[in-house]
Amino acid sequence: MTQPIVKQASVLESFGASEVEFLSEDAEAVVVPLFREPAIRLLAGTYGPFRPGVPLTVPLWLAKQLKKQKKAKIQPPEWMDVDSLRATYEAEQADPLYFEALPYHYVEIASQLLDVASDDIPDANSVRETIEDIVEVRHLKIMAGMRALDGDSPAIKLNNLAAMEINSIRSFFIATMDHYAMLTEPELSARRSSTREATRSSTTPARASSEASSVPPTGGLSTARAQRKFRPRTSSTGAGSRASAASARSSETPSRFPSARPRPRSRPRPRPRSTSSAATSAGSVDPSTIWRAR
Amino acid sequence: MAYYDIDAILLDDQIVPAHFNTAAMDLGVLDPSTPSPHIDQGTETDIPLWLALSLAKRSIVTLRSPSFFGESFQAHLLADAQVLNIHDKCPFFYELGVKLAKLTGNWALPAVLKKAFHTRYLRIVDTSINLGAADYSEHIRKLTTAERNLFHLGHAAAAEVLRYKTRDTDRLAASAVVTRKRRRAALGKK
Repeated sequence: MTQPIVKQASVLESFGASEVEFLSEDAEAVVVPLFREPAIRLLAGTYGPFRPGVPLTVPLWLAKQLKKQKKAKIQPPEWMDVDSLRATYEAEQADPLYFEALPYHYVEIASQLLDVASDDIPDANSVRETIEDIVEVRHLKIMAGMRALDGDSPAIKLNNLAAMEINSIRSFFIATMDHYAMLTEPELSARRSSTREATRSSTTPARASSEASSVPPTGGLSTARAQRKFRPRTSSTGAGSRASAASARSSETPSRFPSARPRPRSRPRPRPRSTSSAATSAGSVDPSTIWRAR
Repeated sequence: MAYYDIDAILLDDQIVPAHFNTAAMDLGVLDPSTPSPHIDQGTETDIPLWLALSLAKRSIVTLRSPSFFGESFQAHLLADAQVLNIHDKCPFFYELGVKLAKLTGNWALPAVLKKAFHTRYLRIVDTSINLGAADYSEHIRKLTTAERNLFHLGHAAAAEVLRYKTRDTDRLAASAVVTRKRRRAALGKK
């Protein structure tokens, strides 16, 4: 019986912001070298040759290093232009459900470039402001997505999320999903076992529909047809058809957990043809009924 | 769930009301209200979950619903779960509810719990992300253990985002383990 209890993430379970930034350093950046040097061959690749004034593409980590040593200027990527950023911001505000396609590491790249090479970025302060705005708008959308998590839907769709954004909600999100899964698991297993039973012995449609009308909608599959198909157990013991048959026979069976809503008395069900695995089908056994059945 | 998971162990230690179907020799310790060393048939007493599950499997006891899974509290949960102090009822409210529901086949209870959790979860999303450095003890007072852990996850993530925004993450700092060790060593010298 697995039952996840929400845990605090340890250091090993989630990335910090600096680790995500480290991953982003493999992104490409265009530098204009201020020095002359033949190509440098490294395990990860060959970079160069470097000629003064000739732009070339290198990984961000190398670009940062060259910039710090004042050996190159960094050409900011096109999307970091103030005008295109403003356009992105407008588009981002316009649609509350859609995330604009930005580079996967846009938060980190912008942050690093603005940190190391702010003198190479035209109008750096406006860029910084606009990126901050974009991050903020997207954050609000993410929060709206988080609120949409209700356990009935197995997933929410958040396309075009950036690495840093994913990382900031990852542990919280997963823990929430786990908790919802724990709460929905009995319902699902009940549905699963009732489908199994339905396929094994075809129930009369009249009884199935009468029970379906008495069943409160349990979310997810809430249409009447779905309920007829995935009929949740409604009897007070209900650990299996064998159990309910037994409880029908012995009326002194104490009904343990009173349900939230008053339920109509369940009719005695006919014994299914094969009862071998019925009692264990729901993953649990009502102990008192087994004891009586013996 | 890991075997050594401390929360799982604590969950198994929650007490649930049980009805003894048989008399039990030398188990009087389980019922503080009886002077006799034995438990009579038909005794109603609270026993820990791990024991209750095991005895219920053998039909020695019948599990009763704790009061906080009763109809009235379920009505409270559905009305407004946010204001209820569930931690006082049981720190492992949801987990216990699901475990008992599985055992007794009460599929309505997890559905109610899910609804209640959803209402409370919305509050947790808001507070954990937006509280910042403010004192949050009042906010987590009513939360169950799982909800508190959830809160801390969101809170830590929000703090990390803030730290990154100011590029505080670039600064190297000694690990908490090291500083603790130093402090302890300094105390030892005194």
